[in-house]
Amino acid sequence: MSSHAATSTTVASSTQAVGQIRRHELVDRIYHWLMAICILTLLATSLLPIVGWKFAWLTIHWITGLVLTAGVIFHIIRALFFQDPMSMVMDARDVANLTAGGRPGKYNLAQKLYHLAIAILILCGIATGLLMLRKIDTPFWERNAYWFGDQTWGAIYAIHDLVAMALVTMIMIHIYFALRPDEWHLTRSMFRGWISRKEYQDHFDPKRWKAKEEP
Amino acid sequence: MELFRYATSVYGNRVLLGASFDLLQWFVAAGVAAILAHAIFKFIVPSSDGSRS
Repeated sequence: MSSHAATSTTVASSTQAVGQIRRHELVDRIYHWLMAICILTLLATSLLPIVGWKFAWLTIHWITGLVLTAGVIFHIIRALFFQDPMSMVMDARDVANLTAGGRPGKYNLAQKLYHLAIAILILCGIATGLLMLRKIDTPFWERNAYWFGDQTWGAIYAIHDLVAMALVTMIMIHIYFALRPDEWHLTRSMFRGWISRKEYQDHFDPKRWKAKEEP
Repeated sequence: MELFRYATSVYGNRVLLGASFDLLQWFVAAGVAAILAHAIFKFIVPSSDGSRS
């Protein structure tokens, strides 16, 4: 008992000395990785048959799409009403930092631009995907291929196809940045939730990101 | 290279089916190009602490 208490005290003291800053709450990390699984599953089930790997992909694809849709709705509500949505909005200081070399808030300009691009792509993918559900039979509804005319369906499919292919580019870039040594503190924070106090002081402007200490 | 996929309807009209999947290789190439461009930039231009990565 006393040994356990002593160990706990040491760990607590060590954490205090090093200092950890909360960057991502557990629920946000779960959301991120759930979205990653969904996006990779959606891309695999749509693009692998095109490159020659034939399998029954449609059911997995639309069910995963609905999971993605639910996740994105959850994220929008959480980001708008329970987090700081302005931390992801570009402002003049982000642009000024390009030349002045100042430190960013919680997210830098590149991350904000990436988030904007991926948000547009995924929302377009979801909107067109939900419409495309009308063309398949599911346990919940019967298909109605005549909901739109041929040209409209063609445009919907074209947007969905382009979104899928653009997501390949975006994910390649995302994984590249996650693997770069100078970004490891951010990658670690998406697994464990925190960055060190030193990383916080080195990479971020405390006036723009008023971070919380790790409990 | 076609940008879109088309079919011919029973009425003989050209109908849009979607985007051409021939474009996939170009989207992959764009990702590779962006990664290489950034990696080369970061190697040539040292970071603020003087290191190259």
